[in-house]
Amino acid sequence: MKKSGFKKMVATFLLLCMLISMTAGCSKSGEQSSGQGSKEDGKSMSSKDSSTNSKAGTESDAKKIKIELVTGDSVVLPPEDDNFINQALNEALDLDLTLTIMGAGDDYSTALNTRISGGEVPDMFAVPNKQSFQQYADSGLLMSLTPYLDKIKPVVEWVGGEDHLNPNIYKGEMYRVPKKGQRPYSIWNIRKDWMDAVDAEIPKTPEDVLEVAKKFAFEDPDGNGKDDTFGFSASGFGGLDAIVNTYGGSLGNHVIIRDNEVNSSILQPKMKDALKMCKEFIDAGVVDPDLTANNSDTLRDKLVQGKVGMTFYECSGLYKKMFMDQVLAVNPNAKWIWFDNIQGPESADNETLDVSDVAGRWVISKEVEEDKEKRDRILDLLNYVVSKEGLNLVSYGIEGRHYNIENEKIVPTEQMSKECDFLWAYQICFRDDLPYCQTKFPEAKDAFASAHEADRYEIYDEAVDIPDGLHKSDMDKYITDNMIKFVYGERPVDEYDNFIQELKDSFQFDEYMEAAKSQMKEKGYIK
Amino acid sequence: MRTEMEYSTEVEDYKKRRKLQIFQKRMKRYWPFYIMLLPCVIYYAVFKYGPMYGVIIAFKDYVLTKGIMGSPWASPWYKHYQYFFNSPYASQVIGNTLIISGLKLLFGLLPPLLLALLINECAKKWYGRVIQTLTYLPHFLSWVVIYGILIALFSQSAGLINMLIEQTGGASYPFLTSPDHFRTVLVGSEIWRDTGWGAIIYLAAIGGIDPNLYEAAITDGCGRIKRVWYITIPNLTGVFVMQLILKVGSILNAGFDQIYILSTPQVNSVSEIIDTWVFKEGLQRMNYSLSSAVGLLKSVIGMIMVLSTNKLARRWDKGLW
Amino acid sequence: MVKGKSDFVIDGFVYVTLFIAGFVCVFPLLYVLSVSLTPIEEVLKNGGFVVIPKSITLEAYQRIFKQRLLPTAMGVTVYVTVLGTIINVFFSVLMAYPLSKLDLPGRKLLMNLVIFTMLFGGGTIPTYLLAKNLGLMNTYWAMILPTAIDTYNMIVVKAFFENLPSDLFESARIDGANEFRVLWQIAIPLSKAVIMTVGLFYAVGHWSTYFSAIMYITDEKMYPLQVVLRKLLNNNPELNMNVDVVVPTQTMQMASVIFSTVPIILVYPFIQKYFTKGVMLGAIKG
Repeated sequence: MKKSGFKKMVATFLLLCMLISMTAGCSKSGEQSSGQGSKEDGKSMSSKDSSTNSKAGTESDAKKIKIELVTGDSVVLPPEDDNFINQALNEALDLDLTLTIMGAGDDYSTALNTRISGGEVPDMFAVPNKQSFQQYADSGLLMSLTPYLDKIKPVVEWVGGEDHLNPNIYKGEMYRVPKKGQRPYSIWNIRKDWMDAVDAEIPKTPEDVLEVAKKFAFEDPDGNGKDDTFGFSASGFGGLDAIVNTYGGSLGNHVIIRDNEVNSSILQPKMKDALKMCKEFIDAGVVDPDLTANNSDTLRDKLVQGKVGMTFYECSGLYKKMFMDQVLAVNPNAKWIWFDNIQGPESADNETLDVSDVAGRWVISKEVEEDKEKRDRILDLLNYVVSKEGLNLVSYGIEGRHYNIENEKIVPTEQMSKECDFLWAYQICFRDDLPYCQTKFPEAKDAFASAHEADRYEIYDEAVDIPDGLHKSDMDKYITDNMIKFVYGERPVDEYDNFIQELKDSFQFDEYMEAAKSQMKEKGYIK
Repeated sequence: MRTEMEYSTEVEDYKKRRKLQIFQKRMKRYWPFYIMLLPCVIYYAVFKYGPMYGVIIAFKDYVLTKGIMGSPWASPWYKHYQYFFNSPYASQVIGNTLIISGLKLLFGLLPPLLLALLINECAKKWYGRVIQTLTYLPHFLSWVVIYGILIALFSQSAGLINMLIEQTGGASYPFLTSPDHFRTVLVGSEIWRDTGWGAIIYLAAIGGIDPNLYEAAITDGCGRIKRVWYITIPNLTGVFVMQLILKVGSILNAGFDQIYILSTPQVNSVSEIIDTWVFKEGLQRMNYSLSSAVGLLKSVIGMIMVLSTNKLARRWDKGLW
Repeated sequence: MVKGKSDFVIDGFVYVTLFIAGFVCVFPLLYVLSVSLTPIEEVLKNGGFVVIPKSITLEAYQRIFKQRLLPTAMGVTVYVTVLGTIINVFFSVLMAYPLSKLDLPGRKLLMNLVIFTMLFGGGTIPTYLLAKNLGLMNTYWAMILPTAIDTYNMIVVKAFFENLPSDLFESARIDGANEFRVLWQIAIPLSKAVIMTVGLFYAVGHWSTYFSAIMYITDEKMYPLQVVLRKLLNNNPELNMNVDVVVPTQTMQMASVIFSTVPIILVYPFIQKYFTKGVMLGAIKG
């Protein structure tokens, strides 16, 4: 029949096209193609560098790809001629550097992964998350720094010595560039003017917080005759951890260490009391009903508008000048102050901090290793960004233009706030966070200091690789759902033990904890 | 006397010659069409069929650095499907997807058609045009912006609607965080967003109706409503069926962007769909294989739906093909 | 035609319903527009909700325009949209026409193959590899070729062609015209409404190009509008936690929405005029 002949033609044609595409796709994937436009090799001189001292034999491009947090009008790098960081780095290290920003968040990981799967591995790049890092390392794409530890002594010192290199080591090799850790910025904040209006004092315990919240909610602290204020809010349900942590537990399942043993935050003895306390808050009607729907932006809107009197929130989100200006624009008499962590039955920890999440984000491609000059230049770069001069450069900018040094202290000039908002993209090994924040945002420097000192509930989630076949996000979802139910009174807190049992029966809870125990021991967190 | 064999070979030859003749005749008649189709077919072959081998990611443990062909096969091959169906939330997630999609289909297919009819019936054309322009505007807003608008209107603590309710003495209502009504918010916001845009195609179709038909109907004494019922609507059923068939194919999609952005933890039990589940379990952990596997399953089911709906539509001569 | 009483009632119903529909749709957009024109302090005082601003400022727009990449991005997007849409429409029509001929041999097979692609696809990674191997990286073609024909749009055009009366084509053929002429001089002029509609769909798609740009373009001078805008106006609260991040104000966010949607909105009224009735009339009589 004619039809079948035609069909055959079409089918073969399509098959042919598919085959062609397949082979085209296959031949490149998995291949680490070198020199594919991501670097200029040899001793090329880049003519576009106006300010680089072009010596004969300028080194080849060390091109970096970095994840970009896109926001504001700062994340677009300035045009090359104005990119003084790039120029300064090039000059100091005799390089031709390019920083490419490929999008943010999930877009970055997709774009980066696609690119790598196409065989193009950038010289140096930031890993989007742990899983991709492990895949890259397992596939032999990364250069290990272990053989070169003696060449990067400044970096090792910077993070506190060889003992602190552990998080960056994977299967015995140090693939990640170490960086300094960072502490969270969250602290308790309260409206001083409201406190004065209702005659309240700084709370010191969860019960105190409840009392003050009641006053804020019911005694019209803003004096406008309307019952429109709330005593407490946070950006999301997890914000209640500021209270729950003080009972030794947490609203999410986290891996913790107690008495040198791996344990779970939701198995802690005082969890029920913590939940009961939270429930009291809700029942008293002092909490913002949108608590679970809030994110940091919507919460800040409420703070600025004067709808909430007390919150546990990042100081960087409130005390920076631009936010304070917004607060004052709405109400010139508003005064936000912060206070120290509250003390609960178990501790004064407010908010979780994952201490195992200190691994550096930057890795180096294995191909670089073959080019000795290039490799050494990169190591030089690493040493430079932790040196005093380099650190000042990537933290604060150009001396004289963006800051001056007076009495050993960095004093910013006007230019800093105008021109320096993209600098952090270059902070490969991070920075000395506290002085940095205090210098850049002097109006908030005490807030930063308090946040830095505050006690945190230490967890180790990042150290645990989720076993194959374990539905972790399902388990987390079930936990969140039920915690919300307990707190909002939809399920009696007395059923807490049943809830734990349900986790064990249907959600592989025990498997997860077993995996956590063995892995933590392997990695040396438990002696 | 010819032998049977000779006879049958002659018949064979004859048949072949005849086939060739018919083929040549057809080609002579239809060759321009094939020329027209050629570049398009090449496009489809290269860009649509070319990458299709990628579906085997669903059956492998994809490691992005090894490429698609180099990654190991999953063991067992249905490993990712097992993972999906083993999830304690699998039935909830599937159920939500079907319910939400179903509701959107049920309530969303008709409004664009109705809107187009109303606009068409405007005596004053400029009024219809203006309204039409206004109604398709929401389509251009991203869900992030719409979320902001929804919060400004419906948030329990600061939303406009709730403030009005409280002023008239009522109690504020958790529109956005209550599981009971969240699906309404989802379906409603999508209808709001897409009705005006969807009406465009109906209006284009109406523009193609022969005005003589209307003239004739008026002469026959048909009232306005009858004209709409007997002329306009029948001419739109084709478009309607087409929309139905195509939308049915994405019944397992339910709107990832919208749901991901609008959801809050308290409504997860009614709003978590297959795609959001896959996103959290899969993509955020680099598990491309999982999302590919589930995607393949969705496509297969979508295909079945489209084919059966099309078959059904063909009974009334309205099949898409 | 005399308007009877029932006509009034119907008219009234039509007008009122349409008014409500229009109001409900445009109100949130007015809100977006207002906020984009209001000084930030006033927005904050009113809890982020301003319908009629007390004072107008163009500050938000100015801040967006100051972005050095914005003019190039606009240019890129306009270029890609125009060129892309022309290509889209050209190929969609070219494909829809033969497929609308019910007696074309192999039609059913082709339709099946084509519809199949609507539901099944290879995924991001193989498509990326393909584009890469075809040398499309960092070219405008990367944003145009992979999406040259959208099956849904093509089917819309095909359905329309199928509805055209076959006597038209018969008479043209008898007059000796070849198929290309028939397509060009008869089918297309009669299908202006549908072609414009499909063109609009494609254009809107191009205007919102984001993901393919992220994947294929690394040269910042080639970034389309949406990429630049999203970089400026990140709406991701988690990312905003970074101390250094300059959080865009609500006014800027609204201004960017207006900025990116107004141009496309302005195009539509030009297309509306093709939706008039009587398009067929001339053809049959002629």
